[in-house]
Amino acid sequence: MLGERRLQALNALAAALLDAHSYGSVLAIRPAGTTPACHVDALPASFTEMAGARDRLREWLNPLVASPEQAGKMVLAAGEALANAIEHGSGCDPDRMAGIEAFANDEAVTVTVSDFGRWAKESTASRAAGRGHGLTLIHGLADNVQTVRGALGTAVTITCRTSIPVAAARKR
Amino acid sequence: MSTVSFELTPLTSPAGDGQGISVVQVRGEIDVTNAARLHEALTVPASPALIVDLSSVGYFDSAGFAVLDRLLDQAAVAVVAPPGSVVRTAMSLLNLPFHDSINAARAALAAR
Repeated sequence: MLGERRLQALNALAAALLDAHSYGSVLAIRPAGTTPACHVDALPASFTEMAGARDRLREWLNPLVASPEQAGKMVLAAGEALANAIEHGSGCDPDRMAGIEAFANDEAVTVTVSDFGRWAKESTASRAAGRGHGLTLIHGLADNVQTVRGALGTAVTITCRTSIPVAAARKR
Repeated sequence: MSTVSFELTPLTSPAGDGQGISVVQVRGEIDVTNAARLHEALTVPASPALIVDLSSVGYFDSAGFAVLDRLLDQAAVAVVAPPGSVVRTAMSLLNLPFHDSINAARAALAAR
Protein backbone atom coordinates (compact mmCIF):
# COMPACT_ATOMS: atom_id res chain seq x y z
CA MET A 1 0.00 0.00 0.00
CA LEU A 2 1.30 3.39 -0.86
CA GLY A 3 0.86 4.64 2.69
CA GLU A 4 2.84 1.77 4.14
CA ARG A 5 5.68 2.18 1.64
CA ARG A 6 5.90 5.88 2.41
CA LEU A 7 5.94 5.19 6.13
CA GLN A 8 8.67 2.60 5.73
CA ALA A 9 10.71 5.01 3.60
CA LEU A 10 10.38 7.73 6.21
CA ASN A 11 11.32 5.34 8.99
CA ALA A 12 14.36 4.12 7.03
CA LEU A 13 15.43 7.70 6.37
CA ALA A 14 15.05 8.65 10.01
CA ALA A 15 16.96 5.55 11.14
CA ALA A 16 19.78 6.26 8.69
CA LEU A 17 20.05 9.88 9.77
CA LEU A 18 20.03 8.96 13.43
CA ASP A 19 22.62 6.30 12.75
CA ALA A 20 24.93 8.84 11.13
CA HIS A 21 25.31 10.76 14.37
CA SER A 22 27.42 9.51 17.25
CA TYR A 23 25.49 11.58 19.78
CA GLY A 24 21.85 11.13 20.67
CA SER A 25 19.47 13.05 18.48
CA VAL A 26 15.78 13.34 18.02
CA LEU A 27 14.53 13.59 14.50
CA ALA A 28 11.01 14.14 13.29
CA ILE A 29 10.05 14.35 9.63
CA ARG A 30 6.40 14.58 8.88
CA PRO A 31 4.86 15.59 5.60
CA ALA A 32 1.40 17.02 5.95
CA GLY A 33 -1.12 18.23 3.46
CA THR A 34 -4.35 17.55 1.68
CA THR A 35 -5.23 17.07 -1.97
CA PRO A 36 -8.43 15.59 -3.36
CA ALA A 37 -6.84 12.14 -3.44
CA CYS A 38 -4.53 12.35 -0.43
CA HIS A 39 -4.80 13.62 3.14
CA VAL A 40 -1.85 13.58 5.50
CA ASP A 41 -2.16 14.83 9.04
CA ALA A 42 -0.05 14.72 12.18
CA LEU A 43 -1.13 15.47 15.72
CA PRO A 44 0.28 15.40 19.24
CA ALA A 45 -0.66 12.15 20.96
CA SER A 46 -3.30 13.62 23.22
CA PHE A 47 -7.00 12.73 23.35
CA THR A 48 -7.95 16.40 23.07
CA GLU A 49 -6.39 16.51 19.60
CA MET A 50 -8.62 13.76 18.22
CA ALA A 51 -11.72 15.81 17.42
CA GLY A 52 -9.76 18.22 15.21
CA ALA A 53 -8.11 15.34 13.36
CA ARG A 54 -11.52 13.69 12.86
CA ASP A 55 -12.99 16.93 11.52
CA ARG A 56 -10.12 17.30 9.02
CA LEU A 57 -10.45 13.69 7.90
CA ARG A 58 -14.22 13.97 7.53
CA GLU A 59 -13.92 17.13 5.46
CA TRP A 60 -11.54 15.39 3.05
CA LEU A 61 -13.70 12.23 2.97
CA ASN A 62 -17.10 13.78 2.34
CA PRO A 63 -16.80 14.28 -1.45
CA LEU A 64 -15.19 10.86 -1.86
CA VAL A 65 -17.97 8.70 -0.46
CA ALA A 66 -21.60 8.14 -1.41
CA SER A 67 -23.21 9.37 1.82
CA PRO A 68 -22.51 11.06 5.15
CA GLU A 69 -23.09 7.65 6.76
CA GLN A 70 -20.24 6.16 4.70
CA ALA A 71 -17.98 8.98 5.81
CA GLY A 72 -19.18 8.52 9.39
CA LYS A 73 -18.25 4.84 9.38
CA MET A 74 -14.72 5.58 8.18
CA VAL A 75 -14.27 8.45 10.63
CA LEU A 76 -15.42 6.19 13.48
CA ALA A 77 -13.08 3.38 12.45
CA ALA A 78 -10.17 5.84 12.10
CA GLY A 79 -11.16 7.55 15.35
CA GLU A 80 -11.01 4.25 17.24
CA ALA A 81 -7.61 3.48 15.72
CA LEU A 82 -6.44 6.96 16.63
CA ALA A 83 -7.55 6.58 20.26
CA ASN A 84 -5.57 3.32 20.40
CA ALA A 85 -2.53 4.98 18.81
CA ILE A 86 -2.64 7.76 21.39
CA GLU A 87 -3.33 5.61 24.44
CA HIS A 88 -1.48 2.38 23.72
CA GLY A 89 1.04 3.43 21.13
CA SER A 90 2.01 6.76 22.65
CA GLY A 91 1.01 6.55 26.32
CA CYS A 92 -1.05 9.74 25.87
CA ASP A 93 2.19 11.71 25.65
CA PRO A 94 1.62 14.99 23.78
CA ASP A 95 5.34 15.17 22.96
CA ARG A 96 4.84 12.14 20.75
CA MET A 97 3.01 12.29 17.46
CA ALA A 98 0.28 10.23 15.89
CA GLY A 99 -0.21 10.25 12.15
CA ILE A 100 -3.05 9.91 9.70
CA GLU A 101 -2.45 9.20 6.01
CA ALA A 102 -5.44 8.72 3.77
CA PHE A 103 -5.52 7.92 0.07
CA ALA A 104 -8.35 7.59 -2.40
CA ASN A 105 -8.50 5.79 -5.70
CA ASP A 106 -11.47 4.90 -7.85
CA GLU A 107 -12.26 1.74 -5.89
CA ALA A 108 -11.49 2.52 -2.29
CA VAL A 109 -10.37 4.88 0.41
CA THR A 110 -7.60 3.80 2.76
CA VAL A 111 -6.78 5.48 6.06
CA THR A 112 -3.58 4.58 7.89
CA VAL A 113 -3.33 5.58 11.53
CA SER A 114 0.18 5.42 12.93
CA ASP A 115 1.95 5.69 16.22
CA PHE A 116 5.67 5.65 16.77
CA GLY A 117 5.91 3.88 20.09
CA ARG A 118 5.82 0.47 21.58
CA TRP A 119 2.55 -0.95 22.83
CA ALA A 120 3.40 -1.77 26.44
CA LYS A 121 2.22 -5.08 27.81
CA GLU A 122 0.41 -3.31 30.65
CA SER A 123 -1.71 -1.34 28.26
CA THR A 124 -2.75 -4.51 26.53
CA ALA A 125 -4.13 -5.91 29.76
CA SER A 126 -5.56 -2.75 31.26
CA ARG A 127 -8.75 -1.52 29.64
CA ALA A 128 -8.75 -4.69 27.62
CA ALA A 129 -12.50 -4.50 27.33
CA GLY A 130 -12.47 -0.96 25.96
CA ARG A 131 -9.73 -1.65 23.50
CA GLY A 132 -11.44 -4.85 22.43
CA HIS A 133 -14.57 -2.90 21.59
CA GLY A 134 -12.57 -0.38 19.60
CA LEU A 135 -11.01 -3.17 17.55
CA THR A 136 -14.42 -4.83 17.07
CA LEU A 137 -15.72 -1.58 15.62
CA ILE A 138 -12.70 -1.06 13.36
CA HIS A 139 -12.92 -4.58 11.93
CA GLY A 140 -16.69 -4.43 11.55
CA LEU A 141 -16.83 -1.03 9.89
CA ALA A 142 -14.00 -1.54 7.40
CA ASP A 143 -13.80 -3.81 4.38
CA ASN A 144 -10.20 -4.60 5.24
CA VAL A 145 -7.84 -3.90 8.14
CA GLN A 146 -4.09 -4.44 8.14
CA THR A 147 -1.91 -3.85 11.16
CA VAL A 148 1.84 -3.54 10.83
CA ARG A 149 3.86 -3.48 14.04
CA GLY A 150 7.52 -2.64 14.07
CA ALA A 151 10.22 -1.46 16.40
CA LEU A 152 9.43 2.10 15.36
CA GLY A 153 5.68 1.90 15.87
CA THR A 154 2.38 0.54 14.69
CA ALA A 155 0.35 1.39 11.60
CA VAL A 156 -3.28 0.35 11.18
CA THR A 157 -4.58 0.63 7.61
CA ILE A 158 -8.34 0.69 7.18
CA THR A 159 -9.79 0.21 3.71
CA CYS A 160 -13.36 0.94 2.63
CA ARG A 161 -14.63 0.40 -0.86
CA THR A 162 -16.22 3.42 -2.46
CA SER A 163 -18.38 3.91 -5.48
CA ILE A 164 -17.26 7.37 -6.51
CA PRO A 165 -14.28 7.75 -8.84
CA VAL A 166 -11.84 10.33 -7.54
CA ALA A 167 -12.15 12.54 -10.64
CA ALA A 168 -15.90 12.84 -10.07
CA ALA A 169 -15.30 13.53 -6.41
CA ARG A 170 -13.13 16.50 -7.31
CA LYS A 171 -16.08 18.18 -8.92
CA ARG A 172 -18.45 17.80 -5.96
CA MET B 1 -7.50 21.87 19.17
CA SER B 2 -11.21 21.17 19.15
CA THR B 3 -13.28 20.84 22.28
CA VAL B 4 -15.58 17.88 22.10
CA SER B 5 -19.01 18.67 23.39
CA PHE B 6 -22.46 17.17 23.47
CA GLU B 7 -25.89 18.43 24.41
CA LEU B 8 -28.75 16.56 25.92
CA THR B 9 -32.11 17.85 24.81
CA PRO B 10 -35.03 16.61 26.87
CA LEU B 11 -37.96 15.70 24.68
CA THR B 12 -40.17 15.25 27.75
CA SER B 13 -40.33 17.02 31.08
CA PRO B 14 -37.82 15.69 33.65
CA ALA B 15 -40.53 13.81 35.53
CA GLY B 16 -41.33 11.86 32.39
CA ASP B 17 -44.43 11.51 30.30
CA GLY B 18 -47.67 9.85 31.42
CA GLN B 19 -45.92 6.48 31.55
CA GLY B 20 -42.99 7.79 33.62
CA ILE B 21 -40.62 7.62 30.66
CA SER B 22 -38.16 10.44 29.97
CA VAL B 23 -36.83 10.94 26.48
CA VAL B 24 -33.51 12.65 25.93
CA GLN B 25 -31.82 13.39 22.60
CA VAL B 26 -28.02 13.42 22.37
CA ARG B 27 -26.41 15.83 19.93
CA GLY B 28 -22.75 16.58 19.33
CA GLU B 29 -19.79 14.25 19.76
CA ILE B 30 -18.89 11.68 22.41
CA ASP B 31 -15.39 10.27 22.75
CA VAL B 32 -13.10 9.40 25.66
CA THR B 33 -12.64 13.10 26.53
CA ASN B 34 -16.27 13.54 27.57
CA ALA B 35 -17.83 10.07 27.97
CA ALA B 36 -17.72 10.34 31.77
CA ARG B 37 -19.71 13.58 31.55
CA LEU B 38 -22.29 11.79 29.43
CA HIS B 39 -22.59 9.08 32.05
CA GLU B 40 -23.09 11.66 34.80
CA ALA B 41 -25.67 13.52 32.77
CA LEU B 42 -27.66 10.37 31.99
CA THR B 43 -27.69 9.08 35.55
CA VAL B 44 -29.33 12.11 37.10
CA PRO B 45 -32.38 10.49 38.61
CA ALA B 46 -35.40 11.68 36.74
CA SER B 47 -38.10 9.25 35.87
CA PRO B 48 -38.16 5.48 36.28
CA ALA B 49 -37.33 4.88 32.64
CA LEU B 50 -35.17 6.68 30.09
CA ILE B 51 -35.07 6.69 26.31
CA VAL B 52 -31.75 7.88 24.83
CA ASP B 53 -32.19 9.09 21.27
CA LEU B 54 -28.94 8.87 19.29
CA SER B 55 -30.43 9.73 15.89
CA SER B 56 -28.71 13.13 15.76
CA VAL B 57 -25.24 12.45 17.17
CA GLY B 58 -22.29 13.61 15.09
CA TYR B 59 -19.78 11.14 16.52
CA PHE B 60 -20.20 8.39 19.12
CA ASP B 61 -17.42 5.93 19.80
CA SER B 62 -16.59 2.95 22.01
CA ALA B 63 -16.15 5.22 25.06
CA GLY B 64 -19.76 6.33 24.62
CA PHE B 65 -20.99 2.78 23.99
CA ALA B 66 -19.28 1.68 27.23
CA VAL B 67 -21.39 4.29 29.04
CA LEU B 68 -24.55 2.98 27.39
CA ASP B 69 -23.58 -0.58 28.24
CA ARG B 70 -23.36 0.28 31.95
CA LEU B 71 -26.66 2.17 31.83
CA LEU B 72 -28.45 -0.66 30.03
CA ASP B 73 -27.25 -2.99 32.78
CA GLN B 74 -28.39 -0.84 35.66
CA ALA B 75 -31.60 0.86 34.71
CA ALA B 76 -34.67 0.87 32.53
CA VAL B 77 -33.01 2.45 29.52
CA ALA B 78 -33.73 2.09 25.83
CA VAL B 79 -31.60 3.49 23.02
CA VAL B 80 -32.90 4.78 19.68
CA ALA B 81 -30.56 4.19 16.72
CA PRO B 82 -32.37 4.62 13.42
CA PRO B 83 -31.94 2.31 10.41
CA GLY B 84 -28.98 3.30 8.24
CA SER B 85 -27.23 5.27 11.00
CA VAL B 86 -23.58 4.77 11.94
CA VAL B 87 -24.52 4.35 15.61
CA ARG B 88 -26.88 1.52 14.69
CA THR B 89 -24.12 -0.28 12.75
CA ALA B 90 -21.79 0.19 15.70
CA MET B 91 -24.32 -1.03 18.27
CA SER B 92 -25.03 -4.12 16.15
CA LEU B 93 -21.31 -4.88 16.09
CA LEU B 94 -21.14 -4.51 19.87
CA ASN B 95 -24.33 -6.56 20.49
CA LEU B 96 -26.04 -3.65 22.23
CA PRO B 97 -29.84 -3.47 21.97
CA PHE B 98 -31.44 -0.58 20.11
CA HIS B 99 -34.78 0.54 18.70
CA ASP B 100 -35.78 2.07 15.40
CA SER B 101 -37.67 4.99 16.87
CA ILE B 102 -38.78 6.69 20.07
CA ASN B 103 -42.20 5.07 19.77
CA ALA B 104 -40.65 1.63 19.37
CA ALA B 105 -38.48 2.27 22.43
CA ARG B 106 -41.49 3.45 24.39
CA ALA B 107 -43.40 0.30 23.51
CA ALA B 108 -40.48 -1.89 24.54
CA LEU B 109 -40.11 -0.15 27.92
CA ALA B 110 -43.86 -0.28 28.57
CA ALA B 111 -43.84 -4.02 27.87
CA ARG B 112 -41.24 -4.70 30.61
